[in-house]
Amino acid sequence: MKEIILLKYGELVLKGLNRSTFVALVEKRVRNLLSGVSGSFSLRYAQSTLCIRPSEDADVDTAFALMKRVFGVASVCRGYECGKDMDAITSAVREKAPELLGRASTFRCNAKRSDKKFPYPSPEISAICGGAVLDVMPHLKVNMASPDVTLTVEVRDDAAFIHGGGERGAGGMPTGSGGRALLLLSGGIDSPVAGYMIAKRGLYVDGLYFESPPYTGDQAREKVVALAQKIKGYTGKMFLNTVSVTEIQEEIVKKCDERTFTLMLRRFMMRISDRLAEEFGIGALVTGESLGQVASQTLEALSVTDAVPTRPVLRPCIGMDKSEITDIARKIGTYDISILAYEDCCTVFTPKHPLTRPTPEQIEAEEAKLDVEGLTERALATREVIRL
Amino acid sequence: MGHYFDYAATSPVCASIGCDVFRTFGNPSSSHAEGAAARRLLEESRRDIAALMCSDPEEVFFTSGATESNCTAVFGACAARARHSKVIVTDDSEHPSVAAPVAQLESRGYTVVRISTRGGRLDTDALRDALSQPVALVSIMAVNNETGAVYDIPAVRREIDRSGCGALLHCDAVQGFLKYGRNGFFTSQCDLMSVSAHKIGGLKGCGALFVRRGVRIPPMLLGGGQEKGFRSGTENTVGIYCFAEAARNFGSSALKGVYEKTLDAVIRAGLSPHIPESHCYHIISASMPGVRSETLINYLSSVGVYLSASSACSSKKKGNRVLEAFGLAPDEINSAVRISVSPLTGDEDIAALESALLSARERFGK
Repeated sequence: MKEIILLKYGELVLKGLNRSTFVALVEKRVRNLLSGVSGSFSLRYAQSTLCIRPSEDADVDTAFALMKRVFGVASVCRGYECGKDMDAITSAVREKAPELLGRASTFRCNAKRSDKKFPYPSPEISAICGGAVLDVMPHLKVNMASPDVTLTVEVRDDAAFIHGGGERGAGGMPTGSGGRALLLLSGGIDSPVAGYMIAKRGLYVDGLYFESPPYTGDQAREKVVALAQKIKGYTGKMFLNTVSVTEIQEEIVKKCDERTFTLMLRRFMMRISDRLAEEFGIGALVTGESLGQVASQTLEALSVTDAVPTRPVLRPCIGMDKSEITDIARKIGTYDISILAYEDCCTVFTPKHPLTRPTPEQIEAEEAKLDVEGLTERALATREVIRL
Repeated sequence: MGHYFDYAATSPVCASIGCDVFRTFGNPSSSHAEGAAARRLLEESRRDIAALMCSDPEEVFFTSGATESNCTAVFGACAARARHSKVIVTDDSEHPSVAAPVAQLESRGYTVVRISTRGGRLDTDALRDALSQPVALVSIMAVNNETGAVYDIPAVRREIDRSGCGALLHCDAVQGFLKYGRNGFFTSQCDLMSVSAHKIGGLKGCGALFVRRGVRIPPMLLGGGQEKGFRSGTENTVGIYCFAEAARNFGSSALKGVYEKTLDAVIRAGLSPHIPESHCYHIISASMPGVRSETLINYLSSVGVYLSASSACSSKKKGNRVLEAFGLAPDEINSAVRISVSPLTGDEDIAALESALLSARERFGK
C-alpha cells in the first residue's frame, strides 16, 4: 500500500476535443511545482484524475500543500493505493481508517467502481468496507445523510484508491491555457487580487509597476516585488516591469487642471501598458478597479481611461465590495504586504477635489497641453524588467 | 560610500574592533579555561561600561538592547511597586519601547499621566501635580530620539524627592549615553537607566540596564540565572565586548562643532530647523517647506546622502505622536526629516548634505 495524492479536475473535464491540451498544462504546472520538492514523484492521468505517486523519501506534506495552488484542479485528496482485490482493499481500510477518519464520530463509505469488471458492485464494496471500518473503530456511527467524513474507495482500471475526501483545489483553468495578460500592479489591495483572479482563469500574468522616484522609494518597489511573488506562486513565472512616471506627473502638475491629475495619469498608464502589451504580444490589460470605489473609478472616469488602450481591459474586481476583495487578499497572502504604508505614485499629487464625472472633451483638452507622445516614449525608455 | 546622517538610528561598528574577539568563544558559565577567558572578557567589559556610567559594575546588567532594557524597567518597576501605587508618570514623546509597555499596563488598570513636552521642554509644573499622589514609576527619556530635546532629568529627580511619591525613576538614555552631559550625568539621577550598544559603535543586539544598588525589580527572562539571576540567557560576550570597546573609544568632544556646522548648512539650504529649548548635539529635526519627508529622503538617498524621516511621511499612517507633542503643525510634520551626526561626520559630508539639500529645494521646493 502506497501513499498517493489525487488531483480531481474541475471544469476542464467539460472540455471537448481539446481537453488533452488542458490536461497537459495541469501536468506541466504540477511537474514544475514538484520539481522543487524533495523526493521524486510519478504522475499518471486517468479518468479525470491525476494520480501522483511519491517515492519513499518524498516530502508529501509540502507536495500536498503545493497542489492546492494548481489552477484547473477542483479538489486535492491524500490517500492510499492498494491492489485490486477485496482482501487487499479491506485490509487497507482497516489499517488506514483511524488516520483517514481522524476524530470523526460519524462516517459513511462511498465506493466508486469505474472498472466494471471488478466482481463486486459499488454498494457491496461500500458495505464491506464500512464493516471493516467498524471492526477497527467500533465507536463510530454510520450516517449516510451527513457524515463527518466520507471514506471513499475508488476501484480504477489499474489499482484501488482509498481516501477520506479531498480539500478544495485552486479551481479555475490551467495556467497558460488563456494566453498572457499585463497586470497594472500598484502597492494596493485590489490589483494583486485582480492579478490572482485573472491568473485563475488560465492566463500567465506579467506585472507593470509605475513608480515615481524620488516621490516613491525603494521600499515601495520592494513591496510590489513581494506582491508579484505571491501571484507568481500560482502561475510559476512572471515578469515584473517597472516604468517611471515622474516626468509625466511633474508635467501634469505643472500644466493641467488639478481636478484631472489622477485621470490624466491613469490615461498615461493605459497608453504605456498598451504599448508594452503590443510589443510583447500580450492580449489584455488587467486592473484592480472596482466601480465607484474612488473618483477615478466611476463609470464616466472608466470610459475616459478605457478610450486609450486598444486591447481589452479586464477588471475582475469591478463588481466587488472592498470587503470581498480584502477577503481574497487575505486568502492569497497579499493583504499584509499591501497594507504597508509606503507612498505610491497614485498617492502623490492627489487632487483635493478630483473630477468624478469627467467628459472625454474635458480630458482631451487637458491632454492637448502636453507632449503626450514624447512623455510616453521617454517613460517607456525608463522600463526595467525583473524576472521573478 | 555615501554621506551618512542617520547616527541616531545606528552607527558603523567602532574601527578598533577586530576579529580577535571571536576567538573568545567560551560560555562564561563554564568552569574550564575557555569559560574563564569569556568570563574575564565579560567582567572587564562590565567594569569599563560601569566606569563610563560612573556606576558600580554590580549595577550594570547586559540585555539584548534598549527595547529589552526599557520593557524590563517598565514592567519590572511597576511589578516591584504594585502594592505601593498603580500610577505611572511618563511624557508624551517617549520611544515606543517605553510607550508601548506603559500603554499595556494602562490597559491592565494602571493610571498613566503623560507630561507635555511641547517645544521640547518637559512641563515641570504638570510633573509636580502628577507627583502629588503615590506613584509607582516615573519614566522620562534623557534625549528625545526624533527632536534631540534634552529633558531635565535632574529636575525630575528633585520633584520626585520633594514630593515623597515613592516612585522609581527610569530614564531611557539611549540617545544620551556618552553623547550628552558629563559621564554619569544621567546615572546619578535615576534608579533605572537603559542604554544601547549600536548607537555608539557597538553591535546590534546588545544593550544594558543600569539598576541602582538597593533597587530590586523582578526579572523578565528566567532560566539559567545569568546576570545574577536578573537576566537569564547565555551572555552575548562578543556583543558586550564590542559595546565596551566602542564606549571606551567614543569621544563626544567634537560633537558640538559638527552639530553647529551641520545646523548652519541645513539653514543655508533653506530648511527650517525645529530646535528645542535644551538640545543635544547630534540630532537636528528640520522641515523643507512643501516637500514631503519621503520625497526628500528618497531623493537624497539617490544622490548618496542618507538621513531618515522623523515623521510618518505617508498620509496612510497615523500622524507623528512625537512631533505633534513637540507642537509642530501638520505641514511641518509631513515634511520633517531627522539629521543625526557623530564625531565621524566630516566637513565633506556636511558639504555634500548642503549641496544635496539645495538641489532638492530647487527641484521640489515651492
